[in-house]
Amino acid sequence: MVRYIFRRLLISLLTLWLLATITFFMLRLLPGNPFQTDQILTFEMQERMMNYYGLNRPIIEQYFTYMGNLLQGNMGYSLKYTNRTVNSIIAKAFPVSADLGLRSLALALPVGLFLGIASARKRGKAVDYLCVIISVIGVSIPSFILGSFLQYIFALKLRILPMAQWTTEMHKVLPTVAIALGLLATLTRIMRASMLEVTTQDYVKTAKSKGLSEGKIVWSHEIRNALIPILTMMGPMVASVLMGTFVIEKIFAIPGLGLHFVNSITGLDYTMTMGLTVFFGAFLVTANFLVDIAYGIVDPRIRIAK
Amino acid sequence: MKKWIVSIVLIALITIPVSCLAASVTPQVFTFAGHNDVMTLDVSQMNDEMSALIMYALNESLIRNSYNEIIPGLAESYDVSEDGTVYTFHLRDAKWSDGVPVTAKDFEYSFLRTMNPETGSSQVSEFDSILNAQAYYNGEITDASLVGVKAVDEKTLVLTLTYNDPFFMTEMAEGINFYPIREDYVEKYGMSYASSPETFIGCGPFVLKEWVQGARVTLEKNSEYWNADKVKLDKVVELIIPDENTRVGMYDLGEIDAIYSISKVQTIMHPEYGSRSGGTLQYLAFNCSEGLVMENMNLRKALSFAIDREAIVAAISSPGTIPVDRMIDPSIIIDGKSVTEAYSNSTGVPSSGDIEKAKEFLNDALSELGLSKPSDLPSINYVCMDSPVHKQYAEALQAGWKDGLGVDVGISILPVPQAIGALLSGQFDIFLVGQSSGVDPATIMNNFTIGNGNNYARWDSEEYSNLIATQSENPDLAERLLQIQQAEAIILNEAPVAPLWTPGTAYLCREYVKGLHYGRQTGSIEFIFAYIED
Amino acid sequence: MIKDFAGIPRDEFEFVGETEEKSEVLTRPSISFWKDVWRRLFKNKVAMTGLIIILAIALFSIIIPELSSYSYSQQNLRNINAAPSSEHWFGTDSLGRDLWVRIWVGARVSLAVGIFGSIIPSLIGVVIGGISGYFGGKVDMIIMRLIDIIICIPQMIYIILIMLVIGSGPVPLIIAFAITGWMGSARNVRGLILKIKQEEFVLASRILGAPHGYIIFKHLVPNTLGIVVVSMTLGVPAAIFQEAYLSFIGLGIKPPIPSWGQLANLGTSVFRIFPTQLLIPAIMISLTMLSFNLFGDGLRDALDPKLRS
Repeated sequence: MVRYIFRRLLISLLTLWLLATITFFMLRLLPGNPFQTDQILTFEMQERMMNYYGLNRPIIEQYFTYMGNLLQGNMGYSLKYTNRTVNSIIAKAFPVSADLGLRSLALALPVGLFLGIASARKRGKAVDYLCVIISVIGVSIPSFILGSFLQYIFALKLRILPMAQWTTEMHKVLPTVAIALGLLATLTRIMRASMLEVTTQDYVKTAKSKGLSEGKIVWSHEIRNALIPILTMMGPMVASVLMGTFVIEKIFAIPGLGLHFVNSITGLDYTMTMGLTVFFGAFLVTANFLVDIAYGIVDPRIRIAK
Repeated sequence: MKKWIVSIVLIALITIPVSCLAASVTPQVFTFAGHNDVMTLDVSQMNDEMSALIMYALNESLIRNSYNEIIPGLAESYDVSEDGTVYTFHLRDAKWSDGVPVTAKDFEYSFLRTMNPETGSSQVSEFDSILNAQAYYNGEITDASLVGVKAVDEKTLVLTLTYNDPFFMTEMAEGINFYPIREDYVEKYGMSYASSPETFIGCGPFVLKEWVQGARVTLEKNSEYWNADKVKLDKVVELIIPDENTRVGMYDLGEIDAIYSISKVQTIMHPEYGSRSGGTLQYLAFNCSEGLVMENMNLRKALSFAIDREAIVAAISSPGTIPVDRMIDPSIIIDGKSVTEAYSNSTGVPSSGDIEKAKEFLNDALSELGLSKPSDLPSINYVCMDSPVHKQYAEALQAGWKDGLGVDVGISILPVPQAIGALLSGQFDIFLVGQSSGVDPATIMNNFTIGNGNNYARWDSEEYSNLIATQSENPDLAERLLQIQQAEAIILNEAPVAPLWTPGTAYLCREYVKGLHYGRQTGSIEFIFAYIED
Repeated sequence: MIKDFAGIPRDEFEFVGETEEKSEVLTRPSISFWKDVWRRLFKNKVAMTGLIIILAIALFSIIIPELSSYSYSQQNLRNINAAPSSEHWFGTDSLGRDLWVRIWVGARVSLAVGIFGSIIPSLIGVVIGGISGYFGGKVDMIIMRLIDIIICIPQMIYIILIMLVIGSGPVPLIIAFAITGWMGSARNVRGLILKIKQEEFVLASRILGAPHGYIIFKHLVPNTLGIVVVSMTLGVPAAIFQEAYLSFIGLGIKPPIPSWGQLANLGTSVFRIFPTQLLIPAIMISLTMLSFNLFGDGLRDALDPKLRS
């Protein structure tokens, strides 16, 4: 088991390094200059700025400088927010995105899993149809459209919830629901399919014939095994939700990472984009790493096979 | 009975005035919405609207631009030398918000810091008229004492110019980098200077109370401000709301009092909008380099004449946008007179276009190029910046050329930095450029000289370049303006650029907000004399 | 001796007779696997509805723009933001363009991107996963490690970067999806192949000396085909969604070529004033995603051998 963990760790670190490197070079491939805004700078001025930030040095030299700093946890200063470090910007924005993400997950996970189980167990009955309808609709309506609608109805027309910003508990309701609905739908579908798959397995029939109580079968055997495919998607799902969804953050004026992310890419704020990508990558890598470990614990076949 | 009446009257006499008093105390808090966070409050680095907006409230320069008039700011008065190259400013007794007096040294430090190559500011060209400024920021000289910025004593600042620039004062009034900086703050906070309320200090009408990055900026009245008596607002709150629908929704719900700018489509549901215009000129730059399709003058004129500026402005542009047929912004006023009225010129294109004339030019162009139909033309690449209004313009222009002339123009939409990169490297045929027209009527025209890095059109005209060079050094204002007019006639006639319109901006503001002033230049809202009416 | 059974006297029972032929008779007609799949699929009304909607949309997208008198880029600045009328069935947008035509041209783009943006990554995944699973050993290990690494790279970031480098439009978008989206399919197929490889019929074939090609085409492909087709179908809504999202944030399909995502984006900015400009593309997106989901679900149910009746 220890060997297993060790190997996953090694791979995770390798992945992170590769991620940083690929992103670094890709960003420099992007045409355009980070210092050009609406007020067009002259070419001389632009070059002056490039030289000042060391962006005209040989690319390999820049790479090693950046990686060296990165290893010490220094992601440099943003090119647009000139006096703020990338670290500080992420440190301020991440908790907001994480808060939103965790709330959405806290809402979507229990409800989604429950609905998936319920609809699988009552397959073919009204409950099942209802759950399927809700979940299929949920995955068919893009979250940004849903977000706009919710805001329009509940904030503008009915006036029972605030329109935007991220201050009080009431403010946090609409964005959370907008994201949670989509997650919930996906979770329901997968859980349902997984449960149906598991119920027909031999070991369940064995348990039934052994005379185990309904509850014990459902819990110990069906649900626990049905959760395995869910685990696979948990990693990426958590990571992406925690990183903030750009459109929801934009619509509800939530100062999270999503906004920074898209703005920094289109504005060619190299340092900011690198910082965000490495940060997100680290998240994804960690999430996958933890999922792999969980797998190793849950499914002995994997441990032995590896 | 009498006693009762007396008591009642007495009570009334007391309570009524008191309750009126209580009722009339409306909170002097102004809340508005902006679309972007403040990028930085470092005076040397500032180059965007939102940062400039907040800086207007937090800081003050030597002079202030109020209702397009220059009024004293931190400088009580100033003298100009006979030859117009030496400006001496006499500072008043004013304090920073922590009580420390403002000195001329603070200005000297600030200007020199911005020009210092070590600072890495992109705003250095604001100081171009100052003696040795260019040499200093280009690194040709390293001794800052050679630069024409001197704090002679605590209250006297002397600025020496390279030549007699008639627009110097107005340029300084409209500039956003002429504020003083406290040296001790920069020393203490280094690279993180001006990134939070603790690391920033100003001497303007308001103090930075709170800055929740990406969400909210809160300003409070500065009691140390020299003119604090005139400041009526206690608090100004800016909420950062990136999505326009959300902004307008919050305005409707009464959560905010004003929106800094709104797009045209929102004006339909809000006919009470206000608009401001002037300060920018948008034109099409044609790439006239040798061997390219736009080298042909008749083709350029054909395209320019075919544009129905009026219809496009009516459909797409914000209110306040005015079609133009000049390269001088009509809103520029010198000595109380509009420059464009005093010195006339025109491209000859009516604001709704002239298709017949355009077709004539097109035919001339085709025969010059030895082609028979518009579809024989080589491909024309219109590079467009990825922003909503620019895209709409591009599509409208493309459709107009197709339907009116049968000329196919291809559009490439690129993110802003890339688009500008294409502009600067000449990888375009047509580009819609928007530039600040400044105070000098020749501001935009100055760019199109031979060898100039901003000559986007890559147009070479000796006659034009000579005229421009002469007028920029000419101390005689009247003669200078005549020369500008002559130069303009050339550029309008040869059409390396096609003037389009001067954009306006629509905004929303509740009627109970009084005394807000929107300046000519973008980003200039002043809260200093604003107040909330009951 | 046969005794009484459940209280019914023995003589009530009649011996029917058990002959060899009778015992060999199959109690139901023999249907091939695929025929059975089709049959079950056809009976699934919900799935069929989904399919019909998809075909209808596809058909309309091909025919309608050809029939219309307006082109998708034709502007009429004097008639902007018009409500639906007999002249313009869906109204006009902010540049006076006919929305009816734009929706159906947009359908072409969104469907093409959705379908190819799902099929191509799937196929790439099938090939890579197939190779990995079939050959096993070192090849498998390297490929799986590679996938482990690449899957950690945030897909959206890479799509955006790729689009910025190679330009925007339907084809670059499909390429970007292809480069960033094949990993899931590869893993699934590999897992499937590993499972099938161990089945006895495959073992038998190999012992009998069948060449690789034979095994692949006769055994592996038919058994994986169903799953692959299902995941391709269910991948379409995801691709449509991603296109809509990218166009919504301004990176996907650029004007004047419409796509539903782009139309939704343009519609949101005028939503409160001209709601139809957002509602119509939103409904089209949702309806199409829904239909593919329903059809895909039905396909999956039809392929599930445990439901054979």
